[in-house]
Amino acid sequence: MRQWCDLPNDALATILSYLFGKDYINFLAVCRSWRSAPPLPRQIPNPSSSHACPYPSLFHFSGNSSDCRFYDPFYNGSYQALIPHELIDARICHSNYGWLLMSQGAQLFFFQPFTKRRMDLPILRHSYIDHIKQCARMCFSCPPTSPDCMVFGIDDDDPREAEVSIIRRGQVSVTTFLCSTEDAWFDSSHGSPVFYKGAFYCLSIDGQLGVFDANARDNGRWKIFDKLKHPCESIQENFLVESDGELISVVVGRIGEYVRVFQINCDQEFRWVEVHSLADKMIFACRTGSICMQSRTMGNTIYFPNLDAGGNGLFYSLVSRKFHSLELASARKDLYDTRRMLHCAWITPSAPEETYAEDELRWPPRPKYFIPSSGRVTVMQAPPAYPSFVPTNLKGLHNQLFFNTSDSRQDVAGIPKVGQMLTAACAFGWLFQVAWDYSACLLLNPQTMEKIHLPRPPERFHQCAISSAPNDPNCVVSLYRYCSEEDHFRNKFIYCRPGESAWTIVRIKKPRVVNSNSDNQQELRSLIKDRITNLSGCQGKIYGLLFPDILVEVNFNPTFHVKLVKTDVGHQVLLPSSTSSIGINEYTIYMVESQGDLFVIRMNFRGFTMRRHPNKVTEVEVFKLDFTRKIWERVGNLSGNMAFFCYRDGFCVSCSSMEESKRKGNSIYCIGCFSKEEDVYAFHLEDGTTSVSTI
Amino acid sequence: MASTLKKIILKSCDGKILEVEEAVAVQSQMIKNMIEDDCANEEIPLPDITGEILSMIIEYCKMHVDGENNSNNELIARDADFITRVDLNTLYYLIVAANFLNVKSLLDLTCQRVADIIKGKSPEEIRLTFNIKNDFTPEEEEEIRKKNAWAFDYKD
Repeated sequence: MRQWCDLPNDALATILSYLFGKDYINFLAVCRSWRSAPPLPRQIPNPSSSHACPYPSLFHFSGNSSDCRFYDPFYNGSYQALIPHELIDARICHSNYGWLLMSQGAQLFFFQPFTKRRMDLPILRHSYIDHIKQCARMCFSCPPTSPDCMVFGIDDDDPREAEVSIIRRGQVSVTTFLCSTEDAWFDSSHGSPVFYKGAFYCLSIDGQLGVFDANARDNGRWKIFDKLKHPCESIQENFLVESDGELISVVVGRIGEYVRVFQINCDQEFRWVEVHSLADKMIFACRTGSICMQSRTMGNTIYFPNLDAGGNGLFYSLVSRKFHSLELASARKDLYDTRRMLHCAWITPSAPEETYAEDELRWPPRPKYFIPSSGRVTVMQAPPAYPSFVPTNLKGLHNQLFFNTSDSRQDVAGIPKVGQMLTAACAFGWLFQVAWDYSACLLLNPQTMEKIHLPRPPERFHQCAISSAPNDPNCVVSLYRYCSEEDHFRNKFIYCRPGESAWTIVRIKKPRVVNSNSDNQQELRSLIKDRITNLSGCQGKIYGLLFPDILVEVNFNPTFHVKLVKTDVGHQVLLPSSTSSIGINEYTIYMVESQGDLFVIRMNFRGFTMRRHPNKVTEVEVFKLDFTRKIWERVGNLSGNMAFFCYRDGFCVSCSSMEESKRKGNSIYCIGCFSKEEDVYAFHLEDGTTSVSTI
Repeated sequence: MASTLKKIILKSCDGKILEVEEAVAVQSQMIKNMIEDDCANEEIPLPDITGEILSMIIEYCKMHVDGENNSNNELIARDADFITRVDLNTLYYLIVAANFLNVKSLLDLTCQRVADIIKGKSPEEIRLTFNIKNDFTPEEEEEIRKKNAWAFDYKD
C-alpha cells in the first residue's frame, strides 16, 4: 500500500498552503518527505485574492524587554518568542509581506521576527535624518528582497504641506519631495499608507485620499482627493486596506463605539460608499499595516490589535455589530477595558525553510552601524507607601472628586471639604488646597482629614509644590509665578513653612555684583526669562524643568537658592532623546516624586497633534534621576505595586501601594488628559499595552 | 454544438473504460492540453488511477460543470458533501489522481481536507492518523524543535 509520506510535491505544497502558524510547523515536523515539501511562493500572493495565504499573527512586544509574542487569532493563543536584545528600543513603522520595517534612532531596517533575519537600509545623510524622524507614516511597495522595492515615508508636520520620501532598493540616498496641498488641509490618518496600482495612497482622518506616484512628473506626483469624506462623527482612527483590487477604509469611532467600512465608488461619483458586509473577507487592522483576506470560517469580521483581560483577541463582527472573542460568550459594544498593543503589527508567518541569497538580503552598501540601545534600569521593590489620590474634575471646578487608588473598593470618593477648594498640589499623601478666590489655603491629609492652615497666599501663582511630607520640620510649600516679557520677567518663588505666619517672596533677578563667568550669566538669563514647569518636591528640595527640559533645583535650607542642576563636568541635566524617534512631533512631560526618587514621564505623540488623542501616543517613557551621577536613567519597568497618575497637563501623582488596588501596578494612568473626562487611559509598561476604562 | 458533445475515452489502470463529455473532461488541465495538442482522439490510458477513483473524479467534474450556473455557496456545499463522504484511503488516491490529471479545484478540495485533518494535531498525532513513520534521527528532531520552539511551546 502506498504511503501518505509519498504524496507528490504539488499536493504537499497545496496542503501546506492551507496551514498556518503552529499547524504549518507541525506539518513540517512529521517526516522527511513532508519536510522537503516545496515552500510557499516567496512573494506572498495578493492576500485578498488567494485562499492559499497563511493567516497573520499579531506580533507584539513591550518595548522594555526581549520578550515578544505572536498572537494567533485562529487558535486564540499566543506563541512566546524573543527578539534580539539590541532591538528592544526599535519601533515598528510598517508590516507587510512577512517583513517589518523598523526604526532605531535614525537607522531604518527590515526585520523578520520569525526568522530574525535583518536587512539594513543605507545610513541616511544628515539632511534626511530630520525628515525620517518626522515620518509619521511609512510603507513599502513590495518585499524588501525584490529589486523594485521602494520605501515610502510621509511626514505630516504641516497639514498643508507634506514632505514625502522614497528610498529605492539599491540606492543609498533618499529622494524627498515637498508636496504642497494648496488649499486642502490633509490631516493624516493613524494607519499606514497603502501601495495600490503603482502609487502610494494615504488616508486622512476625515476620509480624503492623498496619492503619491513616484513615477509621475513633478507637479503630478502628489494629488489630493479632498472631496472624499467619511460620513462619520468623532472618528478616532481609520485604516486603509486593499481588498480584491478595491480600496477599503475601516473607520473606528471613539473607543470603538462604532466600526464602519467604506469602499471607493469609482463608477458614478467618486465617493466613499458604506459596505455593510465583507462576505467571506476578514480584515486585520493595525496602525502599522492592515491586511484583508478571505476566510472560509471567519469572514465578515475585523480584527483589531486589542486583547481582553484574558488575552483573547477581539474582532468586530459586521453581522452582530459588536466585538467578540473566541473565548467569551458575551459580546462588547465598544473597546473599553481592553488592552491595545502599543508596539505591534499583523505579520504573516513566512515559510521557515524559505531561503534567500546573501545578495538579496543586502540593500547595498551596508556599513556597520548601530545606534547603541540606551541603558535601562528596573525599579525593584518599593516600601509601603503613602496613599495617593488623584483629583478628577468631572463636571466643572466645583465638583471635584477623588479617585482613591489604594482603596480596594476602587470607588470614586467625593470628599466635600476637598471639593470646596482647588487642589493645587498633591504629594506625600497630602493635598495643598487653595480657596477659589485665593482667600485661604491649607494642607490637608484626605485620609485622616488632618489640616495645617497656611497664611493667605499673597498673590496668584502658576505652579506649586511641597518639598517633603508636612510632618517633616523642613517642609516648604512653594508657589511659582511666571511673568512674561510684558511683566518684565518678574518670576517669583513664594514659599512658606507650615507654622510660619507669612509667605516669603523671592524674585529671580540679576545679582548686584557680577562676578560670575559667562556660563552663569547665560544660566541666570534663562532662569529670569524662561518658564519653569513641572515643579515637584523631592528629598526636601523642589525640582522643576526649565524650558524645555533642563533640570532646576530649588533649595530652601538654610537659605533660598535656585540653580540649574549640573553634572560633574558642568553639563546641564537634560532628558535623553526619545527611543521612538520616528514620527514624533510633540510630547507631554510629567515630573513626580515617589519614595524619595524623582521620576519623569514623557508621553510621545505621533504626527500632527492639534487634536491630541491617546491613539496618537506612540510611546510612554519613564526616567528616574540618578542623584549621584546627575543623569536621567531610562526605567523599563516600575515595581508591580507602583503606578503614576497623570492629570491634565503637568499634574502627576505617584502611588506605590497598587497591590491594594484593583488596577494594575507598573502602569501609567492618564485622567482628564484627553477628550473625555471620565475616561482613564492606562499604559502598562510590563507588556507595552494601553487600555481605556472609565472612572 | 458538436464540439460539446464530443466524447473523450479514458481507460483506468484496472482496464475500466469511461466515456466522458469533453466539457467535463477538460476540467482536467492535462486532458485539456492533450485535446489542444490533438492527442485525445484515441482512448487515454491512466496508469495510476483505478476505475473506482476515476468514476469519483468524473462525478466531481460533472458536478462542477453542471453546477456552473448555481450559486457559489451551493457549489461549496456540494463540495463539502462530496469530500466528507471520502475515507482517508480514498482521499489519498484522489489527491494523487487529481494531481496527475491536474484538476486544480479537486486538488484544492482534497488537500484542504487533509489540512483540516492535520489542524490542531501534534506531529505525532498526525503520524498516527496517516500511518506515517517518523524517519527523523533524534538529532534532526531536536534541531527542528529548537528552530521552531515558538510553535512547540504553544500555550493555550
